[in-house]
Amino acid sequence: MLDTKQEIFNTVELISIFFIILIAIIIITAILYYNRKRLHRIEVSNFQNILIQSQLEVQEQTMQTIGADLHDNIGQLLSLTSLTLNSVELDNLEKAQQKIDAAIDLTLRSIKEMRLLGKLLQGDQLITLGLPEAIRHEVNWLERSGKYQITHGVTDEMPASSNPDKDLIVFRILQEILNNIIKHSQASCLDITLEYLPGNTLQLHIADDGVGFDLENMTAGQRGMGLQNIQKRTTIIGGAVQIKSAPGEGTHITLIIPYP
Amino acid sequence: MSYSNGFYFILIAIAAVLSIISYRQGYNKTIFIVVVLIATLLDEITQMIIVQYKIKGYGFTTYIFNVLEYCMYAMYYIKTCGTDHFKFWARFSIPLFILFCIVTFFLKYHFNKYPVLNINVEGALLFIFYTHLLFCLDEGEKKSIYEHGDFWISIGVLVFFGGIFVYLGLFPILMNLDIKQAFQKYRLIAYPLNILFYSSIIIGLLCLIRNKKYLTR
Repeated sequence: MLDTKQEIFNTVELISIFFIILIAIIIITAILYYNRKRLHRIEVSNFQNILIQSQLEVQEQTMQTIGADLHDNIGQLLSLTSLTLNSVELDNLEKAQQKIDAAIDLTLRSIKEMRLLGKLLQGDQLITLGLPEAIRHEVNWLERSGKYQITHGVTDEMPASSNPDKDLIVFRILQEILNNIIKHSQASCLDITLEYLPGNTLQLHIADDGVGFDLENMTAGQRGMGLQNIQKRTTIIGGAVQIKSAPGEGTHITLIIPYP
Repeated sequence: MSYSNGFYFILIAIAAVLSIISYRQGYNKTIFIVVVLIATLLDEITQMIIVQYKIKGYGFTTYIFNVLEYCMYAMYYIKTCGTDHFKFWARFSIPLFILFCIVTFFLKYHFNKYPVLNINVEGALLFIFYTHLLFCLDEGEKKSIYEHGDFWISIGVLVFFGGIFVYLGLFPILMNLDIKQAFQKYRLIAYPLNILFYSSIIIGLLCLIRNKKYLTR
């Protein structure tokens, strides 16, 4: 009887301890769940920040390009038009006719450039037309400078449902890479390809024949904000970036991003 | 009064003072914690007097305290939880529990027995509500869960009511087997759980006082 009583007491104690262990498991699960929710919220917040930043930067880039083009291109054309018209001499009708024709030609060229600038002002709206179209537009603008020979293969086989937020960030990354090429590479040939691969993966590849750089031995300061931004933004959208470069061997940058 | 009892009373007193401070800081929901902690102190003192002077019966204070405790912790949960569905059931449970306690008082206990069933039902309900609260903590402030006042208060409720549930449920049977051992084991289980309970509430209130920005969904 005594043994049975003791056994009952011991069993009750064991069950109580089991319940306490169960409570500990519930508490640990709640802590893990909370931490996961918090991380997710931070990721979403970071993504929103990057998105807003990218939107502002695309607009800023567009304004800078417009400003440069107005000064270098259209400003020059209009100055030349003004000079040409000022030099017209009415007593030599043949020469005056030539000069007027030249002024008309310059004016028409200015109008054409203004129209192209107008399209550029809508540049940041190109994302609504899709990433391939936005990249084509950017490539066309770069080709017009005449400094680069560009080969590009931009797919039109994108999925039916797009992701405008990712499109904007990828477009901004492309602009960042092109800015780096213009500033540092001294390249003359560029290759830009956008492919949609099996497994819902988007691949953007940019290669140049520039001076290249020693990626492994670069310090954090030498890397600059450009490369860091590219890596950070690619990670935020769940992708990966591969950078291959060596002094004198150009640079190859490949972005692989789950899409949409 | 033994040292252990003294320590226990000090904990409740500290928790009561902190709950008053947090209420004055603007946490209106902590008024329920203030009420229940003051009621706890009064009930514990009453029980001590009953035991010391060997007064017959458990005194009506235990029954009243049991109902008040459930109502206050349920109200705290209702004011803290952001999920309307659970809030509705919590509000609905309060009058039901009061009715249940009145029925058991007249039909089962008659002031002569410790209201074990009432306490267990109270514990089960609070366990469900505060488990839900633990999974609803707002991560919006991006701070660690350990700085969240409601986390500690929820842990306190879960540990105490969950830990005591089995033993209290089987307490009448164990009393029939060996009353002395039953009480000894009960004190062995209940005392540390009570210390943990009120310590968690103290930590929770300190977190609330320290960081007024925390809210739970």
